[in-house]
Amino acid sequence: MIDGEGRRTGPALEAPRTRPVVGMRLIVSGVTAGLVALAMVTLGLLALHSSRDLLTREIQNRLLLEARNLANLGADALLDEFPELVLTPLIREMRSRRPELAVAVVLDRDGNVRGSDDPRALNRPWSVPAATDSVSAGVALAPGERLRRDAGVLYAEVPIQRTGGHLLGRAVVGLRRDYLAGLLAQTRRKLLLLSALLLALGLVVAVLVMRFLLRPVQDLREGLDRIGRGDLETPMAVRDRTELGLLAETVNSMAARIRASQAAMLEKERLAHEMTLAHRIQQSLMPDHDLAAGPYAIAGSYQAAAEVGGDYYDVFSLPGDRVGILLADVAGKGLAGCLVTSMLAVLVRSLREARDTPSDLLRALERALVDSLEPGVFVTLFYGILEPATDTLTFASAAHNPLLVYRRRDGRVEHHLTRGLPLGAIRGPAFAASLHDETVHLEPGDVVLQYTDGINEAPRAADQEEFGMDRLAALLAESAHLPPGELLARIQATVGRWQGSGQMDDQTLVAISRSRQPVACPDRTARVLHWMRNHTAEDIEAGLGRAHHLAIPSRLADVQRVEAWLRGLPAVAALGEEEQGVLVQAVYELCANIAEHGYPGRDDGTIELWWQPTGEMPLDGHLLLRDEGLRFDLGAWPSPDLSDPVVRARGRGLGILMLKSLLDETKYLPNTGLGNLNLLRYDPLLAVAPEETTV
Amino acid sequence: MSDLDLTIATERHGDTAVLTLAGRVDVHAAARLRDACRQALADGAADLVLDLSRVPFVSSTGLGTFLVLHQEQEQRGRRVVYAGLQPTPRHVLEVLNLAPYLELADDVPSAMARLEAPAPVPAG
Repeated sequence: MIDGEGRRTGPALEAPRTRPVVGMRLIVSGVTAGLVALAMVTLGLLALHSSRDLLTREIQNRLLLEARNLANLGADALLDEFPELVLTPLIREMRSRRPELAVAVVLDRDGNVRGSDDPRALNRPWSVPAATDSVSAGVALAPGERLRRDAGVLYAEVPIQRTGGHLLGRAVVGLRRDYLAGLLAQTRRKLLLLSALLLALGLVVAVLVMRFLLRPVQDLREGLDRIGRGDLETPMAVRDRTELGLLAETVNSMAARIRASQAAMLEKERLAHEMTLAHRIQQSLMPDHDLAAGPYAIAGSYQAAAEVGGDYYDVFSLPGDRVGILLADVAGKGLAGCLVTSMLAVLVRSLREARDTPSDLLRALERALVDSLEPGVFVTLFYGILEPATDTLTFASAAHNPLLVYRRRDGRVEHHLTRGLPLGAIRGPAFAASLHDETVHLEPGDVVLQYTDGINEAPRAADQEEFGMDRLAALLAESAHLPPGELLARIQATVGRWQGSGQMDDQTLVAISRSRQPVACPDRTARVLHWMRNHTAEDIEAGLGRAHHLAIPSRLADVQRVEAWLRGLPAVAALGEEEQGVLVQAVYELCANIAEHGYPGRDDGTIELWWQPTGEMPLDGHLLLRDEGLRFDLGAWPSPDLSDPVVRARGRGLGILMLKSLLDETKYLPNTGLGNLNLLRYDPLLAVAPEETTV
Repeated sequence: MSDLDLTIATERHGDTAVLTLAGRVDVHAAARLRDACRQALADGAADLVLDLSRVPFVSSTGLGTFLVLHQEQEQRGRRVVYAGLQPTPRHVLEVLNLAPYLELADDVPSAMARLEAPAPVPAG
């Protein structure tokens, strides 16, 4: 929607429903990390297992080697007479070098110890304890070699042979198994540490790699969030070539399409809004009430075709109690036509009082307007000045339709055509020269009708035949006796039936009816209202300031002061006692109503009254009341039916009844820039009984 | 103060109470008038005559009170006559077409005489 200042408003976009979003990156990273961890752990375990075997084998091999070494050394020594002399320091050195060795002995072929670091063991028999198991060979054992172990020691037994195979003895080396266990434990720790480090490293790398790979997902998510909030302007950066990139591209183009259609819709709304505004402006420029001047009643009607149109009319007072009547038809529809009529309206308002003859005004309009008209835009104009004092209508026409004048004396309708060029048809003096003033004299019962093309050229639905001037003239003749408002309504209705459903052109009508007696004068009130509506609050204040003025607080006690003020007004003082009394009563009731209903519960409000004379006769004038309380629209309240005894028994509503009956005209303008305005007109000659009241 | 503007004096003439009003009958005064009438009836009066010859102004509330009073008296089978109504209030009554619903008299004596005669057929 477009608000009054053209700003875009509208229902706020719904905040996107936030489902709990589980980050895809989180999932992928998590899974990857899990897999990596699993792999690392599995590998670690495998490594651990195999390393244990390896290590064990290694230890066994080394032990065997030691044993073989010892066997080699013992081979020579055993051939000596005292082998222990060589072997003992050897073995001692060996054992001090390798404290993890539990046993290191050399045995002769009888099983006696011939080499040991413990001298007491010498020459004693020794053998590997029987309760040992043979170690399953992961190592290559030469013939005669044995690996055995028990709970505490691992024994490697190697035969000592002379070259040639002659057995001399055996060398046995034993390794403490807890040494082995210690080595294994150490290795395991190292392996675990390494595994953990690798695992950590692997996880970090995995996470980092995943984040990098999945960055487009993050971009996508941010982009979608933005769109969800309504920001369609920023396209998502498409950075990768996977399906994510494709998705981003699709979303971008979708957002662009939505943006475009949004803009188109807004534009359409704006245009529609402007058309509505233009239409309203146009309507407001045309009169909304009928006028009366002496015995003349003037009514107008305007019916637009579907869009804003190019017709315009105005009826206004001129100095010297004359009335100006203007019709215009712009040949050019839509906003352009409406603009021209608006320009016309303004120009007529400013030029009319200074132009004494119709042709003068039309010339002045042309001078002011012609340069603003687009080429090809024509305006036909009719302008008449009605002078009730002389019963004449003087008019000029710029190619407008013929004026129809119904004569009561013979029932005939005259066609008055003045030839003139339409405004905008031609630049230069030709237009001015083509205008002429004509005058018709009007007698009681005569009716003058002016109209636009939309009436006489209205096509019949079935065969497109035009309504035509003859039918219009006949209709005028047979309806001339009606008040002008009804006359126009009847013409409009007849043309409406003629054309069926589609109205192609604006239809405007103005009728001037000269009645046989003076017409009651609602025009003055209407004129004042018209004046008020067309002036600023400052003007109204300034205008009112010149009149008689009273301001009272909104207390009932103060409302009584209105009577003295009223009776002091020259116009009122000129009234008879009874008439004064009635006027005073009515005004008192109105002020009491304002005090009670306009400022309920308060007594600090203000009620202001002005008496504004509007004419030469002392009775011509208006009472204007102003308050700034709550609006209280008299017209909205029903008069009580006092013929009903139940209603009478309540005794309520008499104030409303009084106001409606005692004054012949009240107008209420609530909530204007100046507050609530009540305009009262009182003509004692026209005060009517309740049944005849029309307000 | 406005509510002291109206003075009400009550006199009894037989069964009829004559209330003489002087001043404006507006919202506050109307209430006091009702009280005075109630008092008079409580004191035993049957019919009422209101002397309005010194009442230059009757507001809508005042007129409403007159109507109500008339209806109430009618309910009781009694009457109330408004005597000596000044031109303006009289004119207002006529413009509002309320005259048929009230008993009017030119002054107090004719009001009393009117009460001698039977009540006119009630309007409406």
